[in-house]
Amino acid sequence: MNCPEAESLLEAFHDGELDGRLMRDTAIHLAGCTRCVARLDEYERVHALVEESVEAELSGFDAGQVWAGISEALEPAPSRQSTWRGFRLAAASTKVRGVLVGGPAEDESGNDSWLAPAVSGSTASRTVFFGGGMALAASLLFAFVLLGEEEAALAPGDGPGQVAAVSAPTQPAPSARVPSPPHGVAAAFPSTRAPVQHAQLQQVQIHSLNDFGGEMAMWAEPAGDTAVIWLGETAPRARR
Amino acid sequence: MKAAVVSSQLWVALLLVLLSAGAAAAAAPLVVVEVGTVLGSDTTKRIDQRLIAHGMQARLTRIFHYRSYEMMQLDARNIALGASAPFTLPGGLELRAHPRAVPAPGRVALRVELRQSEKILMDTILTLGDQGRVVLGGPGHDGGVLLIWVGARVAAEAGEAPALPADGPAVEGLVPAHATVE
Repeated sequence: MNCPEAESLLEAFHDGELDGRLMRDTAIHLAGCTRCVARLDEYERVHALVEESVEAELSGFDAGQVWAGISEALEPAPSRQSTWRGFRLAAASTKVRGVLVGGPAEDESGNDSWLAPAVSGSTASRTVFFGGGMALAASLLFAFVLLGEEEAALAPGDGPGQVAAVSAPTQPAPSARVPSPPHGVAAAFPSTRAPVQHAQLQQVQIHSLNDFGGEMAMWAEPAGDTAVIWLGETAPRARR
Repeated sequence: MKAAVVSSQLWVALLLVLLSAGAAAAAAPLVVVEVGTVLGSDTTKRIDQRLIAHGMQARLTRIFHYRSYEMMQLDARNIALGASAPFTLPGGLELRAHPRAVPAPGRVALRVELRQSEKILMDTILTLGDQGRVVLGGPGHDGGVLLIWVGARVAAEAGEAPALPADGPAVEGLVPAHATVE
């Protein structure tokens, strides 16, 4: 999909009116195209402004307050970009970035060295398979290390280029403003405004994800408690 | 005399070390990691019955719409928490599973790494519930694509044999393996 094609679909994409395949193709294009992302942000901004205006009117705010709200919303919001990442099917040429299903936005300054390719030989393994001379001290620390690792494993991803949280909840996450998701990609376009699902309810949680140079996309299929990580250039033959 | 005392203290320390290390190793629960490989293609219309036995037929057909789903391989292993084990997959792929923690009953946090030769294709940390599966898809193989599913659960007992499927038509290339990796 190229930019003109994507741009012609952006509004329908935003409104969730595309079928599953177009939804996915558009999302994949968006993941690698800052220009189209900017256009989509404009749609979202306009949509938000309209919605805020209507809500304000209905709730009886006076026009001055509404305009103040709109003016404020028109100001560039630094967190806009990271918030929007939450809506996207994660895909990138080098490393996947984004947050799916209610997780907080990734921390651009964070760095999870555990996942870095240079140490992908598993720090944790080394921690566990300690040598004899250090066994006593290490075994005393064993529980603490594991506790710490568990915390790290369960924490949202905090490094650049990593997906922070992808989940296939047992129950679809409630979301008020999510475009109507096509079947099979229901969790690919969740609203970050949706409440974060408690870990106990989720059958699949992807805390972090690194690829090493290839295309990657992923989505979740809530009904089946299944998450998909797709590698390579070949588009998946996914259902709507 | 002093040397003998020091020596005996060293022996006691060594004994403590061995005991504590042994206790830690014995306490590490086993995790059953199941890795199944399916070839999705459009060449024929066929769904391997083994996928039904594993509850994967519904999942895969709900997500993808290939005409054929053929199970190529299934491997389930008991892996001690903190250890890792490689699963050799078709297409020169290798998946390495590293259970890291049991954050809650019925849930396993693990790291999964997919390699092709020496190249790391993907590296993820995830938590799976008993019913949760992650499907790694995309690598092309034999006119189709490989769909690799990963499931994990805490072994009910230390000596529990990994559950492998079942009955169903024989599939060439199915390589069940029962192994415990510690």
